[in-house]
Amino acid sequence: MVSGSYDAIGDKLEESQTAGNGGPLAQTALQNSEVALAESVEAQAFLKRVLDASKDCIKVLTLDGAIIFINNGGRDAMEVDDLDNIVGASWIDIWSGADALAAQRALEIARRGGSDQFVARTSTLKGRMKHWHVTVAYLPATSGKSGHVLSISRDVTLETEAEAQREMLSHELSHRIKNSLALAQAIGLQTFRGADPSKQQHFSGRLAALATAQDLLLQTRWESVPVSDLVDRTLSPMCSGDQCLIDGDDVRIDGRKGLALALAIHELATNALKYGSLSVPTGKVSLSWSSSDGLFKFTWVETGGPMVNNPTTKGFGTRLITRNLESDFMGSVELNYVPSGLVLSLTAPI
Amino acid sequence: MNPAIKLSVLVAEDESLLRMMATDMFEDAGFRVVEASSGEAAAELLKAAPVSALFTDVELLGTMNGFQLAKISYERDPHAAILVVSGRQLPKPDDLPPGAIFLSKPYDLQRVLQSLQQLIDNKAS
Repeated sequence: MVSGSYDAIGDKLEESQTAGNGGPLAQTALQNSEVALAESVEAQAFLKRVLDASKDCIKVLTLDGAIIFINNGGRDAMEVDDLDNIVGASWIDIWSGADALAAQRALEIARRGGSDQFVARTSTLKGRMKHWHVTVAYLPATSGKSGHVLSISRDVTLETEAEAQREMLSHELSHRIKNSLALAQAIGLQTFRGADPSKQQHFSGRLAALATAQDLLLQTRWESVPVSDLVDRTLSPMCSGDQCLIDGDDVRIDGRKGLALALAIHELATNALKYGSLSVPTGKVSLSWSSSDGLFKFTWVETGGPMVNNPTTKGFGTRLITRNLESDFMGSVELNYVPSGLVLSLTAPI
Repeated sequence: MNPAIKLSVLVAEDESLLRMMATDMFEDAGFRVVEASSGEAAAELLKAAPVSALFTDVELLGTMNGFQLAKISYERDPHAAILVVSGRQLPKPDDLPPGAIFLSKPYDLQRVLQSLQQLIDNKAS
């Protein structure tokens, strides 16, 4: 028989046994009931084999959350030597802290006929900490008896630990990248020591922008980054008060484009602080982007700054906001020094 | 304050190249700089003579980190400006003493100097 006192499985058995007494009809009934009994015993054995073959921890609870059954896989998973230690115990008490709240919630839902899932951790009876993915569902009643609650917990410790390990490596990698960039910055500045200080500042500013963008990208495993995050992280240190008006769709771009855009925004902002609209308190920068019909559009419009002139030389800064953007976005950039301020617009397939 | 007396910055950084860069940055901006590579040595320097500002990495040689050093500096002299830099993730709310500024590594030199000036101006007023 199965562990615990799970009487629902025994219901059919009881019914077939009470049918067996007296008369020819009763004879047939007896034969029928013997067949039924045999079928029932077979079905029961079959169900038991199914339960035993599962590596998941399958438990049946009363509606109050008392454990009345646990399968063999569950006993192994929870390292239960003595069934008395778990049968009759409160299922909620297995969990602690926020996990206990999640369990309480799930039990409440199941009790009302629904089902719920949560991920939680608890240690086995021998004290080994494990992570579980738990599904809780209502188990309907048979023949007028009250229903039960079914709890199926899958041990996801290996997956959870692998994810934590990946997370840790990612942080470590991020730290090392930033440290390497900081060292490159130190070497660069020492190499060009005595040179034009504004060039040194440009160099360290660009490296910082690169590091910020890489950090954001690492958080998303280099897959894609929301344009709004990129804009926010790159621009916020350079914008005071309400000088920057930012408005854009919820769009994500890939790593290569993200780096190019971060460097371009940094360059535009540095330029605006020095010569453009951010160099005066009344100046504004309006940044907007959108994605529709397969086209990504990004615009940077400066107003209220000093009169601008088309620069005579096309330095590295200009190339960062034109050629580099065009190349990495495979799109086109228009850069105009109109009298009211600089206007840049990028159009690219997304 | 007599303008002839230079403001002083204590630079605590375990990587010597980065310490060199920070020292040059502050000296070029007109500060007098004292250096340390461990938290303990930096704390000794703070004890020996007060500084106008502390500029520290989070990871330092020894057992004391930059956050702990920043707290020691704040307890000794709440008027000293504090800048903390790191390549690790952002600090938690209780990591920094009141008024301290955190910047990510690699940092923009101009932003470091602007932030420091801002802190010094705030503390003076």
